[in-house]
Amino acid sequence: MLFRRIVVIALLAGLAGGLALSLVQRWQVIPIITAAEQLESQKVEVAGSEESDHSGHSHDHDHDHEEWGPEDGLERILFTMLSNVLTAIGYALLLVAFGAAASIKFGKARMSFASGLVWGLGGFIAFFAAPSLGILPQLPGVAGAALESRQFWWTSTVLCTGIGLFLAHTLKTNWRWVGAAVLLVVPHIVGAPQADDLYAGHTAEVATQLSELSGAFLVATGISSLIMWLVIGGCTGLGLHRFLPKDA
Amino acid sequence: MSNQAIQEQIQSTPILASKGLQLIAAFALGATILFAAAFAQSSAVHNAAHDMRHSQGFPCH
Repeated sequence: MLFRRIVVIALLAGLAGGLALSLVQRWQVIPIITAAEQLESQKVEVAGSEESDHSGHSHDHDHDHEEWGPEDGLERILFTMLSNVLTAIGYALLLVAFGAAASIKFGKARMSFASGLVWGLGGFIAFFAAPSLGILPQLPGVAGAALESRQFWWTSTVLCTGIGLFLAHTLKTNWRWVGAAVLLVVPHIVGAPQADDLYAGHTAEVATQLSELSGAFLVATGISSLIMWLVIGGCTGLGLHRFLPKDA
Repeated sequence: MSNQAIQEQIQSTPILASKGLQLIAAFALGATILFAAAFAQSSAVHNAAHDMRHSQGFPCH
C-alpha cells in the first residue's frame, strides 16, 4: 500500500536527517544559544525583574517558574534530539508526499538519490532560506514582533515558496515560471512583521554582542539545516526509487 | 462467470483509498507533526522543543 510505504520511507529519512542535524547542531548551533542565554540572563538582572533568581535550566521567557522543562545537560540534549528527529520526520513526510505526487500525478521521473538531493535543497529554500530573509532565526533574548503575526508570515512564506518550487518543477506551461516567481516574491513584498527594538531591555554593549551572535547564528543554523535537508532529500530519493510501487 | 469466481474476485480486490488520498494523508500527517513540534504553545512542549525551534528558525516566542 502506497501510504504505508511512503510513511516508512519518511520515518527512515527523517530519523537519518534528525540525527545528522543533532550532530552538527550540537557542535556549532547550541554553543551560540547557550551564549545568548547568558546574555539574556543579564537582561533580567538589568531589568531587576523577579526572574533574576532564576538560574536553573534553560531560559523560561515569561513563563511561570513551576512549568516543566528539561534539565540542562543530558536531558535537554535528548529532548532536543527527539524534537529534531520528529521535525525531520514531518519534513520528510511532506517531501515524500510531494515527491511521490510529482511522479504519480504529474508524470515526472521517479525520484533518485541525486534528484532527492535537489528536492532537499528545495525543502531548505522553502523552510529555511525564504523565511529567514524576513525573520532571522531568533536567538534567545532577542525580541520579535507579535508571535502570531510572525507565525502567520512564516507559514505563508513557507507555503508560497514550497508550492512555487513544486509548480515550477511539475507543470509544463511556460507560465509556471511567472507563477513561481510571483509566489516566491510576494511574501517579501508584503514583508515580515518586525519588532520595534530587537534588543529591548538590553544594555548597548549586550545588544552589540547579541547582534554579532545573531549573524553567527544565521550561518550556523543555515549550515545545520542544509545538511539535514540534504540527508532527508537523499534518503527520500533512495527510498522512493527503490520502494515506490512500480505501478504507482 | 460463476458465483465462485465472482466471490474470489471480490475477495482479492483490496479496498484502497485512491493514491491521491493516500498522498494527502501523508502530507496531513507531516503537517500535523510539524505544527506540534514547531508551534504548539503548551509550555512543556515549548521547553522540550526549545533548542530545536530556535535552530530551525521557527518563530518561537
